[in-house]
Amino acid sequence: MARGPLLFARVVRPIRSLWQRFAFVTLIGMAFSLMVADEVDIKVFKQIKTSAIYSVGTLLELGAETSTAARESFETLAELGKFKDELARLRLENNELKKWRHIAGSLNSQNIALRDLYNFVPLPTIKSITGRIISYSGGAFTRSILINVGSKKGARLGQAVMSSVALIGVLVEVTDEYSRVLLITDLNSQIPVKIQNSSVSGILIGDNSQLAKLFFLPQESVLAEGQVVTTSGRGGILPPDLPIGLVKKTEGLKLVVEPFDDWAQSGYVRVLNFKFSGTILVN
Amino acid sequence: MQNILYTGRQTVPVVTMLLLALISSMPLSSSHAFEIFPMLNIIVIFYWTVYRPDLVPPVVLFLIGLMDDVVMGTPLGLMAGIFILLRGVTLTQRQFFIGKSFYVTWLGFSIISAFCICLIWVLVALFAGRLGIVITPFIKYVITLLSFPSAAWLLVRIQRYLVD
Repeated sequence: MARGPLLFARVVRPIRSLWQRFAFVTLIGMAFSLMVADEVDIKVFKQIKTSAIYSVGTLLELGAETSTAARESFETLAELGKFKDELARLRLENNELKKWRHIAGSLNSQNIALRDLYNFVPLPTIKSITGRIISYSGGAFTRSILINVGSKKGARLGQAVMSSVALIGVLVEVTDEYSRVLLITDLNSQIPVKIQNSSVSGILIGDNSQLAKLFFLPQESVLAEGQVVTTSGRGGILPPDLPIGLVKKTEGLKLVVEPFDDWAQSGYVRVLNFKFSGTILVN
Repeated sequence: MQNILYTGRQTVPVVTMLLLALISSMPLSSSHAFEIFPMLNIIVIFYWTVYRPDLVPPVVLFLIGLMDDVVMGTPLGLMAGIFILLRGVTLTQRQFFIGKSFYVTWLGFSIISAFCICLIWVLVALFAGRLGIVITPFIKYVITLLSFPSAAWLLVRIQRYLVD
């Protein structure tokens, strides 16, 4: 009859008092072990993290859809007065684009003919997968976003992610439904780049600010402010010639790059499904 | 019914922390807006640890920290460790804050939060192998500090009408 209180007194109470004494140290130790395990890339641990991203991602996606719907409603209401002018502008732009469509068509035919003539080996076709941004890390210590494109839709580690016009980052974590994009301005980001229309290439490294810095440039290279920085394609991971930003010199003559696009405005990004066909043989 | 209501009230601090972890990462129309968003989770953890530490179990705080790591993209365990450290340090100073004026609590928060933000910056730099800029975390710290009075005002009301 007295088993309940006896169990409590002999087993539960000592465990509870031990826990109260050592909870702080135990949890700090667990946190530190998790950090080290994350760095070392242990497989079991990765699977646990994948499940955590999936659970959190579901909630974040719901919240993101709600906030996007609310924002779009406000924006529509605010822009009601400008619809007529916007329609006139779009009509003009459409007529201009129709003229360019004919020119693009004839240029494309010329291009195909020239490639056949010179037996040109083209780069693989790049397909893209569009996804919605469901969370942003906040900017002060890390710069990454979660998107609702996962391996089920064809996303893979290391794929380039673009906004409407420019490269914004690279996939660093991919789960079934969601992926994390490491932005080019993050401290851990390193992208092989080149200066458009020149032979100067280097590495673009982020520092958690709005700008990223150029490192490992050739010694005698001279860059001008306003030059376009694109991906170089070295290493075969990222497609070449993706626009990134403009060269902007700071006061200390350090070369920094100002990324092109504020990706947050549209709320959508494109994951580029890029892969070299064939294999690279290594001795 | 009374028990359910009572249990619900006791979970209000944890629910506020969970909601903040999710809301603070919601995508806005400009990425620059995040630069000036305060670290509300630090304010909330500090407040509840000072005034109702019984409602903030360390294991729950650890799990919320893990969730924050997943959302923010920091190494898993970093924010969890910071939250536990914040709770631990605040608990040791709790008796000093109880019964003192709001400005004393604010001053205490400024010191403890500065320590936490510096530690996050150092750990992130350690794992990246490189130093990041200092100005953005500093701005975040100042904004968090300036947001403390309004956040505390709201939390006092939540405690008064929902918890106690």
